[in-house]
Amino acid sequence: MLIDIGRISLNITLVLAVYVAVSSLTGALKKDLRFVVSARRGIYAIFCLISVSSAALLYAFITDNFALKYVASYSEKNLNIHYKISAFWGGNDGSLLFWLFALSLFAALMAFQNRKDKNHRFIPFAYTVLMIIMIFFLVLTSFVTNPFELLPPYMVPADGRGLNPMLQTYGMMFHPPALLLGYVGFSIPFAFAVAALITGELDSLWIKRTRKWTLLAWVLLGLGNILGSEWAYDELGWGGYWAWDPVENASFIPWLTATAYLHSVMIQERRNMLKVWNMFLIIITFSFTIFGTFLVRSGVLQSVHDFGVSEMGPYFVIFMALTAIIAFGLMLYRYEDLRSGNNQLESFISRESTFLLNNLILLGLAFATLWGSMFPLISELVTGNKITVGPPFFEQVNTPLFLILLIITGICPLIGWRKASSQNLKKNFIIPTIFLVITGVLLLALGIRHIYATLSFSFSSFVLVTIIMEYYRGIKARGKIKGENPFTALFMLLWKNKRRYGGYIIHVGVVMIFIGVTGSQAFVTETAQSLRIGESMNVGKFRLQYDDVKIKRKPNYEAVVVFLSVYEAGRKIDTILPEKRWYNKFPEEPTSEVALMRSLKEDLFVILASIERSGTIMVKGIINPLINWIWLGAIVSCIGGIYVLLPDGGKKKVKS
Amino acid sequence: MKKNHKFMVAAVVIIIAIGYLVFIGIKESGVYFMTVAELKARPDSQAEDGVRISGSVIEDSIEYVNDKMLLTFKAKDEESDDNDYVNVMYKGVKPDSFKADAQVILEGKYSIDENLFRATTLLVKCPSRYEEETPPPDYNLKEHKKIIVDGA
Repeated sequence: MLIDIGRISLNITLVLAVYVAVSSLTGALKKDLRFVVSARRGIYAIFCLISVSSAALLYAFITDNFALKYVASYSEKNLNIHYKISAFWGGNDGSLLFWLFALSLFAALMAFQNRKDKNHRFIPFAYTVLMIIMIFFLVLTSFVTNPFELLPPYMVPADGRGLNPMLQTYGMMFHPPALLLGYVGFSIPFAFAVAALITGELDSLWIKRTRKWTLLAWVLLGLGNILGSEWAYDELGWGGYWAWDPVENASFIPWLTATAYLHSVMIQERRNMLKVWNMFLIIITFSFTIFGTFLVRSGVLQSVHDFGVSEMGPYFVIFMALTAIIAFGLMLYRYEDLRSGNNQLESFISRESTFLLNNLILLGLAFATLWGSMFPLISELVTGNKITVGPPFFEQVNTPLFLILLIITGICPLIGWRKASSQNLKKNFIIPTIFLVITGVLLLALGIRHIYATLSFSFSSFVLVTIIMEYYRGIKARGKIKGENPFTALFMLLWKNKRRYGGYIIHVGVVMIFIGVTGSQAFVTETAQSLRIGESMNVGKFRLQYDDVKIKRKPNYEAVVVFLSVYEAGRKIDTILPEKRWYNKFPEEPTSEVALMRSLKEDLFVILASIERSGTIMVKGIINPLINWIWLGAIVSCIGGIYVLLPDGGKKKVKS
Repeated sequence: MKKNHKFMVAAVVIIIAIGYLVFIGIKESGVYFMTVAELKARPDSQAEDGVRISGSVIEDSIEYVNDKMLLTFKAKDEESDDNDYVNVMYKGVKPDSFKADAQVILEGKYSIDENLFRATTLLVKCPSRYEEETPPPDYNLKEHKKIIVDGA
């Protein structure tokens, strides 16, 4: 019954979305607000209907309704309730419904946000663009990957097939929704960009209207990526967190182009430049989010983790082609308008040019990552032979680019707009450069000969010092002008100029991520050894002693738990319990539960690789220095991002 | 306009530099990616640092020496018959999801005389792809318990 409601409301939504698309288009073309108002109400209704559909599917999961093929394939009775909920997006069909839900939510919020704007024609056009995207996904979920597909009555099982054990983790509860929300979020700036191209309202207004949407999407996409790598680290048990797999790259590439966009729009707002470039960036960012959604589901590239091959390929290819042709076609149509009235760059040593360098490097990273991921296809097309590149390629190419990006992060805020004076440079650069050199010399003196690592740490200290100086200057200036004490000044600084000072918080987080990645990539120690009870092994400075083994029984799995004492410098500091689990529904796929001893300095990562009947175990131990700085950095960045998203406290809002 | 040219030149230099990095990267670390059958047909095509192959693990061919961490098995293309295989030797920890019929991606060197692939990396494709029409018969728990170490 409820399932029928879910399915039917999905079908009604499709009809309604077509109506909204037509109605908003009519409203925009005829400049008749009545159509626009009706379209807006339609968008609200769509959100309600898709919420009903989503609730119906969720209800089916919670109540173990295995008459639904999707529920039967991804859930089981004994699954924990929170995993029953996250099984919603555990497969292709459900994750596309979640896509729709997110899009309808964002569209409704966007419509609500702009409800009072009667002057700008790009708003109804933006509705139309969003509805076209919506219709595409509605067609997919209605006709190709319908999550409400019923099994024939004779095939309804007593219990479901269960959720893949690897997905039964907390990481998997949050990583997919964050990533998908991030993907979907870019639909809003994209819709506004296309709408602005249609109407010719090419000033910075559409950028201002979507600024927070872009940032929100960027934060969510970044968070999704980091959560995914945290999940890989915790769950997959190979000791790493990023493998440059095509599926990972597919979600990293739009993040890179979005980062470029996020920075370059500031130049457009400030200096009325780069209009063409910004259009280009938002169009490719959106295209890459669709491409990423597609790649995970297509089986086009050899990846270690993807959904099964499905029949959606052609639909996506057509949609992506149409999107690109129309968006870039409009851009060409408006090319002259976009070019006119632009200011020009004045000096190499200006903030604009460092922003541009930042953009080039980010696009270079995106291109290299895309090229490396697609190379098997490209080479096969050109030469007939498939040639692949692995992590070494990405590390070799991307590491120098990332280092340049890192140092620009520090340099950029120090250089004034338009043209920096040499006095400005001297004043701003001396102290950070001293710190850079000190860090480098110190590391060399400590015997570190890893050139990239040394550079990375030195650049990090440079960036951190510049950020501290920026805060210091701001506080001092406020103290001088307004007579505020340092604490009030800091508070007011953060409050009045969220974008700038919140942006620096994001930068601090990014630098922390750099530090963590550098430590865990350059200085990792790995050992594997087989142990009998009572024996011990050394992993770097730690000694692991195999004390005991026990069996643990839970409703949906059984596990072998191994007790290992950890000794450091002859003193017992902890007992860790790596385990191996056999889930009832997946008896042939044992999964390892990693034992982690986390600290800011390093992680001791221990995995039970195998166990024999005799009780002999094979243990793999890894020391990952500084790795937790990655996760902490992500949290700091998120806090910074959320802070910038808060309503502006500074100048009075200028209604346009 | 002149100034704009200057910036264009700078941008082009940077783009060429990035392109060069990518080109060198591909040249240095690109390896052929082929199926087992393709490898057997053209064993000479592997580069100095080896080749990457995909295949599926043949049932009953898996052997793992625990204390030496030595995994040996036979791999073939999913659709070809069982005689068209290569022997694979891999030293390292056996991944959890490694089992008969698993799809694996291997990197290493192939010796045609021994029909032996010495793998340096072994990746198992994520087993979350189950798109069959019918759910399997309910799983037998008794069978399962045999897998878990008894006693201990």
